[in-house]
Amino acid sequence: MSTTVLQRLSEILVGYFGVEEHEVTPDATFASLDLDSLGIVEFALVAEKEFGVAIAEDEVTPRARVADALALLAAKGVRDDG
Amino acid sequence: MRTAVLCGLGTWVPPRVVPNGEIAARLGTSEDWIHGRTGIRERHVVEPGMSTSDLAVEAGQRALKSADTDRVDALVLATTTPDRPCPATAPGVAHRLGLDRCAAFDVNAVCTGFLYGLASGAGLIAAGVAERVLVVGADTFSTIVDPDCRATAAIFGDGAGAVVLRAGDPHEPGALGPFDLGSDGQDADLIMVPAGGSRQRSTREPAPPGAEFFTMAGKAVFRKAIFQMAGSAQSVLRRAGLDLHDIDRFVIHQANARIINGVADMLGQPAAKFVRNIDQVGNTAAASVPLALTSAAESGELRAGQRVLLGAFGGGLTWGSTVLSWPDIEAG
Repeated sequence: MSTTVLQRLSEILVGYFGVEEHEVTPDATFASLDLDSLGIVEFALVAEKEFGVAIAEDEVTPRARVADALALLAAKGVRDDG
Repeated sequence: MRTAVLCGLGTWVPPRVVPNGEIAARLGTSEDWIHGRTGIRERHVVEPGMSTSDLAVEAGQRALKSADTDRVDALVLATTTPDRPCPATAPGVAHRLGLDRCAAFDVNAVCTGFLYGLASGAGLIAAGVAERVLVVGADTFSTIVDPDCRATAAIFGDGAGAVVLRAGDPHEPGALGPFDLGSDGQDADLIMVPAGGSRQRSTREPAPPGAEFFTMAGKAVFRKAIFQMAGSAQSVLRRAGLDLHDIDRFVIHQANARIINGVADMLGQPAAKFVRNIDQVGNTAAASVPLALTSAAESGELRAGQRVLLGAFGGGLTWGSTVLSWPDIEAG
């Protein structure tokens, strides 16, 4: 079964940030998921490990949407598996 | 070098068991939802009239018996739910245990309380103030949780756990240390009881509705618990000159099964190394680590000679960790 980048992103948000799976929608902002600027730093650390790409501090902000994070990861060459 | 050595362990939970089925309907949810979100199936709660000191006395008695002693020089009680705001609960517990005249005081570091209590007790021994210390973690969160709040009512349970520390040698089994302790008061509001202190001082009027209930900002606390417990574990290992692979068992605060999984993932350690008893007792705050220790020692999951990392995170915010080689003791 293929795993999409959205699914992997969702697993990070559910597993490490206490977010409910149904809250992870493309239009949800990180702020709406209770990630403040420190939360974003922690998110970037975990995402770097999960996706194997570097994410700079200013590339994701609390105002960014899940869709923006997906676009950023796609631009860095992260693709859906399978 | 004088070091505190763990030489006795005892725990107690009140007899009344509350399974998820008993609270799910009131919270507008299901037994499975509670279990899936938290890993909890049931918790123990006190009946009206029973307070934190009653639990502390039961656990303290068992720890003294386990250590085969009836004398200590100090009693440190970690709790967020003292019998009264004033005085501290520890002297009354000491009196009821027949430990009159020993030093006795409370420590409040919420769910990190047991680690702070251990460090305080170990410090009294290292400084030569005490030869033997009883450290108790006891909480009755059922007395401060809003029974209709889904974020907290399903999570917390009541209980108590205690250990006896004695002066010894750093190379003995049971020798505690080093410790990593920390706090971040910038986030003090994430976990709190708003009323009952000097910020919302007592008047002749009752406190505003709900102001005496415990509140917790779920998501922020969830992630901070994972990141701080993982960070603290790494710090204490650096101080001890140990590696993650040197640890046989992680006994960390039973806050939520998903938080324990998150810490295991973040540290890249197998989930099986992490002791769990949260399904039976819920989050028992300061009692959580000693209750998990007893559960693991009784099941054989934790054996003498294994290297154990203890860790916790709680309101304050606070966090702490320590390491020890598990001694050959029988939980009382």
